[in-house]
Amino acid sequence: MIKFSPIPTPVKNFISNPKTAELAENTFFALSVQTGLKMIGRPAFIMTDKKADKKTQKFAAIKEFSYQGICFGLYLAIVPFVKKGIYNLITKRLSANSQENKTNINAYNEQKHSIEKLYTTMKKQIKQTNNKIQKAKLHEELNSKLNALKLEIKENQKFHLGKGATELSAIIASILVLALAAPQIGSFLIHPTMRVLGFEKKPKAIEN
Amino acid sequence: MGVIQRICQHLGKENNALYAVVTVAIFKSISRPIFTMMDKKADTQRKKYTALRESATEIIAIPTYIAVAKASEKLAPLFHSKKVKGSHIETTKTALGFIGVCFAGSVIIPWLCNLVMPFLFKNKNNISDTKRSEFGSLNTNNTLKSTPISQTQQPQFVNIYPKTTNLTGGLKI
Repeated sequence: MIKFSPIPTPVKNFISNPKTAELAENTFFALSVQTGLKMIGRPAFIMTDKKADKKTQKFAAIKEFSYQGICFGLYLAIVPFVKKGIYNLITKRLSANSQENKTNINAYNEQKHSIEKLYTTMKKQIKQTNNKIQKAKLHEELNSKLNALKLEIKENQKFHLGKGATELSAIIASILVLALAAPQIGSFLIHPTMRVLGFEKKPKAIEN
Repeated sequence: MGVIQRICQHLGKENNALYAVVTVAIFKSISRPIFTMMDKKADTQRKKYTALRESATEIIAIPTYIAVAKASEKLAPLFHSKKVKGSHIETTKTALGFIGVCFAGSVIIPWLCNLVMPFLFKNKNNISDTKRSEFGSLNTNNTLKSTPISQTQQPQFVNIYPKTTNLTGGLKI
């Protein structure tokens, strides 16, 4: 008997795919998507507000879009660099505590390096091949090898410390950028941005 | 084992989008009101109102993120045709938790804020109404006034961003 399911199969496949979970577990990716969605979702939400008049709605939506856009841009531009610095600090501190930590962190770094190396070398090979069947085979080989290496990071306990340090550094960098820098820089840039877009005029203070 | 090591081990074993989002929201609930209160240009009453509003937004956001993410995770069995357990379900839960967090941030939290804020700041609304009539003026006394700009020229409402003196804004958050 065929069981009826309200969820379409492609959606099911997408949600239950380990790659989707892998992306969701990546702090930088998750927060980038969330900030990007805020940039679209919040202005769209303002536009649905029936209490406000059209002009006010449009102005508020553009302003929210600009503010979230500034936050999104700052996040993408700054976080990778800040994250790298924080990761170095955390791993240095953890390595100083014990030799085992040092070995585990080095093992994680090596595993990451081998993933990158495998990806670049096989991509080169795929580019150089003209045969379509050969290309497809190489693609398949690359995917299975990458999955095996990534699965090892997830399941082997010796890689957890290094992976955790990467995620912790991404969380700290996100706090620094989204909670500390973005409100300051955003509030500084929002009015010039609105003026450029033609939605705001320079206030003229006149004494009574 | 130190605290940092324990956190790293846990995040390495199972990370979740919820951790990062909630941590950022907690820090925002502290930092944004502080930045607002540090603004020397704005008037004290306005600063207090904005700071309260900002921290209230984040206080609403934190439990909402957790509730929506946990509720989304509960839907995991719907995405599997057979009764599967273990890593398959966990994988789906992680993906659904992330989707829940995104949905909460872009739709549910703005909706909740628009719903709750007017009740929370019923008395404070009088302040914002008087301020709305005067573009750029943040003083309650009449010593400093700015040129009023008509509604046709520019829509005006409450300022939600710290360190800004212009009375224009966005969502009620």
